[in-house]
Amino acid sequence: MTTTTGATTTTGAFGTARTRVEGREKVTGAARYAGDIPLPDLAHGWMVLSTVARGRISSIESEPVLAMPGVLAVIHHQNAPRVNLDYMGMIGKPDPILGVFQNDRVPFMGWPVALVLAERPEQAREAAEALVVRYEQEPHDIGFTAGHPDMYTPPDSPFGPAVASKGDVEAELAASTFVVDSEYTTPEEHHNPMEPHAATAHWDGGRLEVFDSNQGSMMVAAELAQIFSLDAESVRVRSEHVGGGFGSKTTRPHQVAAAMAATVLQRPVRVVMTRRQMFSTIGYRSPTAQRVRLGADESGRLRALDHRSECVTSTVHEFVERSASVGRVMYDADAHYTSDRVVRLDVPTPTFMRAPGEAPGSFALECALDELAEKSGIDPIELRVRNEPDRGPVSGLPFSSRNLVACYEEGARRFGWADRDPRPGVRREGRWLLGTGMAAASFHSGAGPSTAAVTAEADGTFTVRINAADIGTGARTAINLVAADGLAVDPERVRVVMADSDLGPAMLAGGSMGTRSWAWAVAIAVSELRERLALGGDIPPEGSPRAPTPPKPSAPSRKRSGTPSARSSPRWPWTSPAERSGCGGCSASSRRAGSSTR
Amino acid sequence: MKEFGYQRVLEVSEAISVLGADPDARFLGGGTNLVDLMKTGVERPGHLVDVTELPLDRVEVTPEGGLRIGATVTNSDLAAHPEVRRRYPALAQAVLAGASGQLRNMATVGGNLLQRTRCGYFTDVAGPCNKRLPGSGCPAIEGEHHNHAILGASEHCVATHPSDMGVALAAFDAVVRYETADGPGELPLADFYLPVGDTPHLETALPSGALITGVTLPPAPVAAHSRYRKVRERASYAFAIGSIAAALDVRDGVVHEVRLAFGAVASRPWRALEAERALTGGPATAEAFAAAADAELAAAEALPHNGYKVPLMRNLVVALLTELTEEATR
Ligand SMILES: Cc1cc2nc3c(=O)[nH]c(=O)nc-3n(C[C@H](O)[C@H](O)[C@H](O)COP(=O)(O)OP(=O)(O)OC[C@H]3O[C@@H](n4cnc5c(N)ncnc54)[C@H](O)[C@@H]3O)c2cc1C
Ligand code: SF4
Repeated sequence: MTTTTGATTTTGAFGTARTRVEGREKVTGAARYAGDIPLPDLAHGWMVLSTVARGRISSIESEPVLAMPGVLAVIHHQNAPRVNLDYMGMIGKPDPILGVFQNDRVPFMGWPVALVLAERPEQAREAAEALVVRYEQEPHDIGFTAGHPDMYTPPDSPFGPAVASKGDVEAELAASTFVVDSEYTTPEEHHNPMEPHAATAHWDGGRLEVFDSNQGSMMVAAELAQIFSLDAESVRVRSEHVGGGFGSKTTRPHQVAAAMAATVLQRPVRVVMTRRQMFSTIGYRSPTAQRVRLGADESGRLRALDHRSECVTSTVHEFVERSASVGRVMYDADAHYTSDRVVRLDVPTPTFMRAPGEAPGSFALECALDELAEKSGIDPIELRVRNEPDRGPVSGLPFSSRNLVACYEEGARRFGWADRDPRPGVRREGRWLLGTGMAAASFHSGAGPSTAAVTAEADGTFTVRINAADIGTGARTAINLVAADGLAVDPERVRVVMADSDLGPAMLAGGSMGTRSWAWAVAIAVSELRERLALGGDIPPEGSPRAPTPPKPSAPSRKRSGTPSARSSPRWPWTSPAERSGCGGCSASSRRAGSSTR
Repeated sequence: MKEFGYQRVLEVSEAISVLGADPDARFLGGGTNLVDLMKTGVERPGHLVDVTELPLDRVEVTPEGGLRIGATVTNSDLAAHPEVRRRYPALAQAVLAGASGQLRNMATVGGNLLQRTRCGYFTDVAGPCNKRLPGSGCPAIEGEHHNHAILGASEHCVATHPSDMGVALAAFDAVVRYETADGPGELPLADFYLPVGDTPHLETALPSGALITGVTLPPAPVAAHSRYRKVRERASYAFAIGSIAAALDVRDGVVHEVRLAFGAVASRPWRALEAERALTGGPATAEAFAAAADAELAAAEALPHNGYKVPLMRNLVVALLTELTEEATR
């Protein structure tokens, strides 16, 4: 059979409203999530979490629990296999909570202390709730307060320095006509995606296979390999459907517990978290206490921008909610001082959550800008325009892209900004008070290296393979459309295979970079394939070759775009490594590689 | 989760005898509250007797012009019933203000009345709670209690009853009908929920083993001019932090008859009799409404984090009664 991808016209599917590729499967319940995959001889694990905020486990009374119906084993610090946490993961050093059941220390309430395994989940849960764990309690401090005596300035991280400054803030404030000095707090926020964290692990022919719910199968596979001291090729992680992540679906204790238990029992094990368990085990956004001081001259031009934010982390791992950093790219000022400080308390470790730093930081900074607008009598948009920087206000580096003033103009036009009544609380529509306001925010825009393969199938369809994760964002559909447009075929003819660590390295679904990073790789792969087909490559009856399975995830050069070659050649050579599709050339996954310099 | 037996019954007598024979058995309505609590280990029945197939699923107009509502009528059916909407609109509104469409399709009238408090300590079996574990203490008083009671609570428990439906039923003098092995019985809603005192674990005056068979609403012409308003932390799918059911009959600017009940302020739907007394026969003005609310709320005892409920309820009274007055004079 001969297939062409058509002339050079595109289908223009991208950017049009589309039904999700897997929408029907999802709404009919046919889509299988990590906790739904049937496996013969499956055992169920239930995590037992600490009920004290700090201390040591003095005893775990597993004997009575082992006699309960269906109970297979109780894994805890005295009998658990040892694991390795001495590695650097895709998003940094591992959170020590991944070292489940390794010692008797309890650093916070809700720390995993045991895993009860049983034939059925209800039995595991009943036994887990009956398990008596005794603790030697220690005094704890869980109270996050502004100016906590143990607040410290953390070391600079790959995401940027803890403190950035230029000029003399105090002097500029003293010389300012208008000064705003305000404090803002934001509460802790929990991701709690619709689908709780769940993992089903089993050993299959010497490989550890995990069906999981995560934002990046590669990341989880690589970490599990590290944790259990396995070759990277010996771990396969898949996450076909993911019911939300928001930053929490990375490597978490449930995958480690499931893999550990599958090893101990030598049978498949599933661990599903309850919502309650998620509050302490998957991370959350730290509460913040922020103080913003702005000083402006008569015309509203900022002389000083001073933003100090404080947040909390656990005693075992440092995660800093970098809220103060937003000002470093947002507004010009003669003097700048921004700092993010943190205190270690006996609380669960926070983590990345939807615009980490930017969300609480923008809230405080933008409120302060509004207060300055009020004080100075300058229109809030005008005030911001007057302080629009033409290069990084602190770094002095040029912006790769920035279009904020045009956004203000367009927003104001659509909103009827000029004709609004700026007085608060005067307009009413039925039960609702109506008001108008505006705020701006910035977010880095980077991309991460990804690899993709595209195969022209014998039946005229195309298969795209990429280790992307659709956490509910519609990524699968977007990739389908990118490929369809690139191939100039109807999207129906394109199948997307994804969320499988065996597909090779790709960016994770995070930092608003997933679809952007994957689309790049897919677009290059399809254009290569099209060129080859245009050169007269027919599709053999069995289709063009697929990527070798399992490819070495650690060896990205083996991941290629499979393409049919000329009819004369009986074998279908892989493209050379140079032709490997991907965007390794675009800026690395660092947050600093964004449109905004910091 | 404890293993349990399950059985469906088709006759009221069968339901009662099955339950009577097994002290570990419990009735199961829609299961939207009981099953949740079983998962968290708060409730641990050994046997469930599913009552949803009992012939108690009808809403009928009584000869006097009231309503007889069966215990297994779903919340959705109750809210959609034309006679409910016509005669007791606040009841339909209250039911619709609760939970979600899916939950209301499952939830029953009987189960709604007996749903347990949403106090977080009550549902966390790892800690103390007088309601769950009598004598263990009430951590809410010192801890998280922003949505706890301001009226009728005690030093042993400050939990609220979460039902929206119950608030409207309280305003309309509902009577709960039940059946035991000894025969049928009735309890006015005002006596259905027990005072908290030092026994917060004892919630209702229902005899043990009793099956709720339904609720009777006496005729109340004033109820045709009624409304329910619920304040919550998000616009949908959340429990009330304060709610109010009100019915008002104003004639020539004078309050002829008024019904008022508060939700989310006490361990039971709170009939505001003080306020009703203060209003009846007086002027239908915002000042009078506020004064009446103050009379009712004089007994309020706020904790450090739930004091906002006092002005909230006061404002709700004024707003809703003002709306009903405007509606009547239009
Ligand atoms: C997410 C969520 C949100 C909710 N939001 C709201 C809300 O905003 N407002 C609100 O009012 N409610 C809300 N609810 C609660 C809901 O209204 C109740 O769960 C429901 O009404 C209970 O009815 P059920 O038939 O499912 O009761 P079940 O769960 O079946 O039973 C509850 C109790 O009643 C007993 N029981 C049931 N039927 C009988 C009977 N005939 N005789 C004797 N005993 C009986 C059971 O043994 C059990 O103890 C919410 C529930 C959920 C899960
Ligand atoms: S308020 Fe009542 S239900 Fe809540 S913890 Fe106290 S005793 Fe328990």
